[in-house]
Amino acid sequence: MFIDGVAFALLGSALAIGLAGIGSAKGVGIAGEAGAGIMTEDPSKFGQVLLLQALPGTQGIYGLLSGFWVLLKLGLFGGTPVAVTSAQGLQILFACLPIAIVGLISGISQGKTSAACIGLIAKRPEETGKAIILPAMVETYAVLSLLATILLLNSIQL
Amino acid sequence: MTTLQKKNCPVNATAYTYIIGRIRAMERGLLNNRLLENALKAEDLEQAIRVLSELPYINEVIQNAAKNPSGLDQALTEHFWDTLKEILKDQAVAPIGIFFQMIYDFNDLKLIIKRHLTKSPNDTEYPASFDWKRALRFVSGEKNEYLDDVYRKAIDAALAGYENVHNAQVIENLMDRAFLMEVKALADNCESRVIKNWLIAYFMFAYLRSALRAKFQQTKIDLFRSIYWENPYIRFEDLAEIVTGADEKVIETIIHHGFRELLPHDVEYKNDPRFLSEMEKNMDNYLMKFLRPYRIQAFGPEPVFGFLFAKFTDVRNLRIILHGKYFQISENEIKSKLRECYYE
Repeated sequence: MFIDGVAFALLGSALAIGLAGIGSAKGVGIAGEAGAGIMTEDPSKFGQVLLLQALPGTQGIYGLLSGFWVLLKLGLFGGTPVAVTSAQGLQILFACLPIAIVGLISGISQGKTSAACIGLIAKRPEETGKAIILPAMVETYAVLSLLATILLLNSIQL
Repeated sequence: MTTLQKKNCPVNATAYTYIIGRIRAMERGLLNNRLLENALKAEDLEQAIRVLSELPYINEVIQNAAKNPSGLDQALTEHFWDTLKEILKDQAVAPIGIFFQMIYDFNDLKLIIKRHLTKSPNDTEYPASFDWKRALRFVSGEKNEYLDDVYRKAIDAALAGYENVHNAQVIENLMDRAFLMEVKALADNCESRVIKNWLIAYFMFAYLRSALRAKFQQTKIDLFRSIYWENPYIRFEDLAEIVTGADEKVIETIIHHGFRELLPHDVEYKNDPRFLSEMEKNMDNYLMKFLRPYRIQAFGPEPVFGFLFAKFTDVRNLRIILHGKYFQISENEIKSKLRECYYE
C-alpha cells in the first residue's frame, strides 16, 4: 500500500516534469528555428531573438518546480520518506496534471507565437516591446496552472 | 513520380519556420509603391539606380553590370536566381519553389534549341538548374548526356514537332506545353490549397495569354493546338473560340469563361499588343492579389511562395523601370506597365 501511493505520486511528479519539459523543448525549438532564419540574414537581431526564444522555456521550469514540490512533500530529499496511501498518491498525481497538461500545450503554443513575433521583429525592429507581450500572454495560463498545481498539492494532507 | 517534383511539400506547417524567419528579414528588401514612384520620377537611368539603391541588394547587383538593357537583365536575373537557389536549399520549400526554377529552365531550353537550329554561337548562358553545355550537346544528338527526364522528353517532342512543320513557333508551343504539364502536376500534388489554386489560376491564364497572342499573330489553329493537351481546367474549344472567333466576340468570350476581372478598364478591345499587355498585367496583378492575404501567416508554405512570387515580380518591375529609363520612355508609359507590389 505504501509503495503504491508513492508510485502514483512519483508518476505525477514525472508527468509534471516530463510533459511540461516536452512542451518547452518543442516551443523553444520552434522559436529557435525562426530565430536562426532571421539571424542568417541579420545577425544583429540576436539579443531580441534570444529573449523571445527563451519565453517558452518557462513551462519546463514550472514543471520541474512542481515535480520537486512533490518530492519534498514525499520527504524523499530528506531521507525520511512519508507514508503515502494509494488515495493520497492519486491525489498528488491529479494535482500534478494541471502543470503537466497546460505546460505541454502552452509551451508549444508559446513557441509558435514567439516564432511569429520573431518574424515581426525582423520586419519592424522598433516593435520589440509589443512582440514580447504577445507570447507573454500565453505564459499567463502556464502560471495559472502552476498555481493550481501548488494549491492542490498544498491541500493534500499526508 | 514522373515530374520534376520529387516529393510533396510537408503538411506540417512548422516545417517552414526557419525559412519564414529568413524571408521575414528578406522582405525588407522588397520593392514598395513609394520606391517605385520615386524611381519613376528619376530623370535618367543613373538617377533611377541611385533611388533604387535603397534596396539592400541593388548596389551589389547593378554596380558591376553593364548599364545597358541586356547587362541589367542578366544582373537582375542572376540576382533572382541566387535568391531562389538559396531558398530552395531548404528541403521543405524545394517541392513548391521548383515552379520558379522551371520558368527559367524551360525558357533556357527554348533558347538552346533555337540556337541549335539556327547554328548561333552559344555566347551567353543564363541561369538554369542544368548545365548549358550538356543541354546543348543533348539537343545536338548526344543522347547519353545527363538531363532530367522531363527536359529530355520536352526537347525530343519539340525537335520532332519542328521536323514536321519547320516553324519555330511549334518549339515555343511544345516547350510551353511541357512546362504547363509540369505546373498542373505541381498543382495536383500540392498539399496547400492556396498554392494549388494559385497554380491552377496561373495555368489557365497561361492558356488565355497564348490564345490572345495566337490571335494577334494570326497563328493557324492547327499550330496553336500544339500547345494544348486535355486538362480539366480549360477546354480547347474555348481557346479556339478566342483564336479564330471574330474580334468583337473576344470580350464576350473572355467574360463568358469567367475572366471578367482580367479585362482592362480603360482599354477598348483591339487585336493589338496594348490590349494583350494590359491583360497580362491584370493577370499578374490578380495572381499577386491572390497571394497577398497569406503573407501574414506565421507558418506554412504560403508566405514562402508569396515571397518568391513577390521577388519575381520585383525583378520584372525593376527591369521595366530600368529599361524605360535607359530608352527614355515617359513616366506614364513606364507606370502603365508596372505590376502591383507585394507590400503596398
